[in-house]
Amino acid sequence: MAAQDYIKIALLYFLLLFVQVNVLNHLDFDVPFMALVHPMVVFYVIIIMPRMNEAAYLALAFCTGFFMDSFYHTQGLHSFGFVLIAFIRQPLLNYLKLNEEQRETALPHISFLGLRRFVIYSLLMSLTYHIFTVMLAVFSFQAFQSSLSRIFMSTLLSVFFFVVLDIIFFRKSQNAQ
Amino acid sequence: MNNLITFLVRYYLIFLFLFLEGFSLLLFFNHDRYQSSVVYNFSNEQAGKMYAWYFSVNKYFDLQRSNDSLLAENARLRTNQLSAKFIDSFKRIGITDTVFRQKYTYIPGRVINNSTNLRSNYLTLDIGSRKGIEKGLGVVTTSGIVGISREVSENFTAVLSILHKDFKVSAEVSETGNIGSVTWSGKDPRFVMLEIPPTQPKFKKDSVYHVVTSPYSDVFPRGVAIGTFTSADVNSDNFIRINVRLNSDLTNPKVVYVIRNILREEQKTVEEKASVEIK
Repeated sequence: MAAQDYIKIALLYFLLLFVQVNVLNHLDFDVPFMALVHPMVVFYVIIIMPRMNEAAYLALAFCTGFFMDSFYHTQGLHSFGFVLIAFIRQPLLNYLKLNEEQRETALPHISFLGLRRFVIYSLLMSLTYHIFTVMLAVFSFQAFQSSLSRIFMSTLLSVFFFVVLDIIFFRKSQNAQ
Repeated sequence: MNNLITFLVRYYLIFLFLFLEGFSLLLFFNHDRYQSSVVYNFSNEQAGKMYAWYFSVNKYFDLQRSNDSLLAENARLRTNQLSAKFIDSFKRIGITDTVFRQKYTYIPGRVINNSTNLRSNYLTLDIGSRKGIEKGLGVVTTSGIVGISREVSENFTAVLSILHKDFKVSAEVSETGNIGSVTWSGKDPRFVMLEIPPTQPKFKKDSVYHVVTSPYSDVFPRGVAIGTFTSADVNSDNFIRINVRLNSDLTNPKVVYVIRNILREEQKTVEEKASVEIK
């Protein structure tokens, strides 16, 4: 992991925050099952973050969530979700059965995990995130169907964005390998 | 003691995790407490700055439309002016008007950010406490109701939109006088739901009914337009639920007015006194 990559991730982080706040939060799909659905791309930086001090990683996730919250006016909701997925990331990567050496240098990209494992990984991460944030925000089982469709459509859309982003920004490392 | 420390050090990550989650939930559930309002105020101001910057770029794309809406409003106001009216009486009686006293004042503001695609939608206005905005004031456009101001910092206001799960306003059907409350079901930003108690209202077929704010609201003046419905939109079971089409286009409001009720403080003190005496 070169310093260059860290700069790249940092830039990507701010770019995605900007796009999330100014573009994606304003998406409004007027088709069935897509009401209230919006993809969370900021999340991508959290899931691809290279292995770092776990405490710093949790703190970073919390700050990102807190930042998102100030734009959604939902103090605490997104920070809850972000901290949660930051916490389950390592167990999840272990579950994906990387060997010891891979785990140490783990960079959860398509080029490293392969498309299938990357999709499973990001699917589980964003599913957890959306289940908790959507249910916490609605806080009732009324209209459960619409909550359910929101969870699934947001998750699928987010994963789609993750794959596209990963192919755009981190394809190079595949050539290097 | 040593054991305790080694225990804490070994599992510090879990404690950090629990602490952060606990803190998030505390913030989430204590929305209206003072401590979180300090955090809130700060983040509202910062987010407002960002939105204002974005709006300063974005507004040029909408100049045409906002001009049109202002022109339409000007035309409407001109028609209501005294000079636009024909006086068909010879007699003119001078009255010093003591019947009417100002109860509401209107403060204009621009919408710099708006959402309709969430379950809890907010608008951000470019006016704040410096212009006299407070928490809990009504916000309307020229065509109807928009929301209630929720967080106010020096230069920005976050408005809880009518399209918010916690929004509730007392409303009446202006033709029949039925009073109920309006909430948003979260499905479609063009419709809200009016719930009225089952008091045998008779809605005729093929006539349009107007929903306006009721006199029981201490935030909105009586008769601010909310929306319209026909008898086809009425669902009755225990409560009568009516799908009301909103008057104002909440997907794209440009200019709004914040309503200050000058007599609200007085009304509140009286009501509080009354409730204390009963206890």
